[in-house]
Amino acid sequence: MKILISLLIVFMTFSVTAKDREDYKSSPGFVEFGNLEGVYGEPKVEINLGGTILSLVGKISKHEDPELGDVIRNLDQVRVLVYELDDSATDALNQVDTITATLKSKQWLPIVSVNEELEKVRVYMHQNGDIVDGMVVMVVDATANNKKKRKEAVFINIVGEINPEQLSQLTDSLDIDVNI
Amino acid sequence: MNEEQESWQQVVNRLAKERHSSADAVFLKRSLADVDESADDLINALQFQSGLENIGLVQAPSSLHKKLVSIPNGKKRQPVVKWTASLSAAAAVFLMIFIGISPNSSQLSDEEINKARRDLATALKYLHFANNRTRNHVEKIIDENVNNTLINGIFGKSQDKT
Repeated sequence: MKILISLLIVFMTFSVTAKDREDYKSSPGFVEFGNLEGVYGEPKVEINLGGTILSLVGKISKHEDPELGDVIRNLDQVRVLVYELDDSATDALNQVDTITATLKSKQWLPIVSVNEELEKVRVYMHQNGDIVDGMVVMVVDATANNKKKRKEAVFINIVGEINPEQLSQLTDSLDIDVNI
Repeated sequence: MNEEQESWQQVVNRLAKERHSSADAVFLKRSLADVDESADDLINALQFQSGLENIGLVQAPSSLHKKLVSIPNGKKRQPVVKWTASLSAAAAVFLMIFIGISPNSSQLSDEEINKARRDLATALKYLHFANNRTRNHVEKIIDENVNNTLINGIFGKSQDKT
């Protein structure tokens, strides 16, 4: 009986931890990009920061800049997927259209939409009242034709309470040199 | 009731009221000798009981008193003990798992936190990159539209004049 109870509690603990990790998926700001690897292959860049780590980074950053810390702490998830494209970008451009249709069906607001022959940009936001709780950015750029600038597809999903103005401040405040 | 019966009954009464003496006991034994063979035993028992009662209650030392009180009174309390043990074990397991998994614990190194900061910066740079792309397009479209409007306006007016 004791073993049974212990096992049950261990199972429940794991369930709670797993639930905590997967919680962002139930958030309206979360977007499932689908099987991107099937279209593009392995991602060139893959970033997946969950709420717990963001909260911790936010706490630490709060000592340096309280406003910055709060912005980070309010985020539940930051996901970035960057893929290099082959010569043909048709599949990638079609994939953007598929995801766009899903976003429209879920009442996401289109902010920016660029439709060029070899380039598509989509910025969508999800609002809950006055609060923005989700943001999706998709860029497929197949215009590049040299080694310095490669064709690539970028998919970004930010879940949590988002203030777009503060996000741009945050980019400068982190003061980390990133080459992209 | 004759005189002899009255006297040994008085002795019995005195014994019962704890006002006995050894002379009473001797007298009583002699008087009851003919009545009952177990008179000796009866008298001894009465004397013994009376003596015990005269000793009175002795206060036990406090340490002994505590030990006596702590002795279970026969009720089974095993289920409570088992539940407490199970809960304690479960709580220990829970804490171990929680401490083991939680990134808030000291197990999250500075290196991991710095990596998270770099990842966040990279994510935001990509966001910035996408933002610039859209801004360039918007500016380009506005420029084209403004240019077209100006050119059409100027040419339109010059054509009208000619």
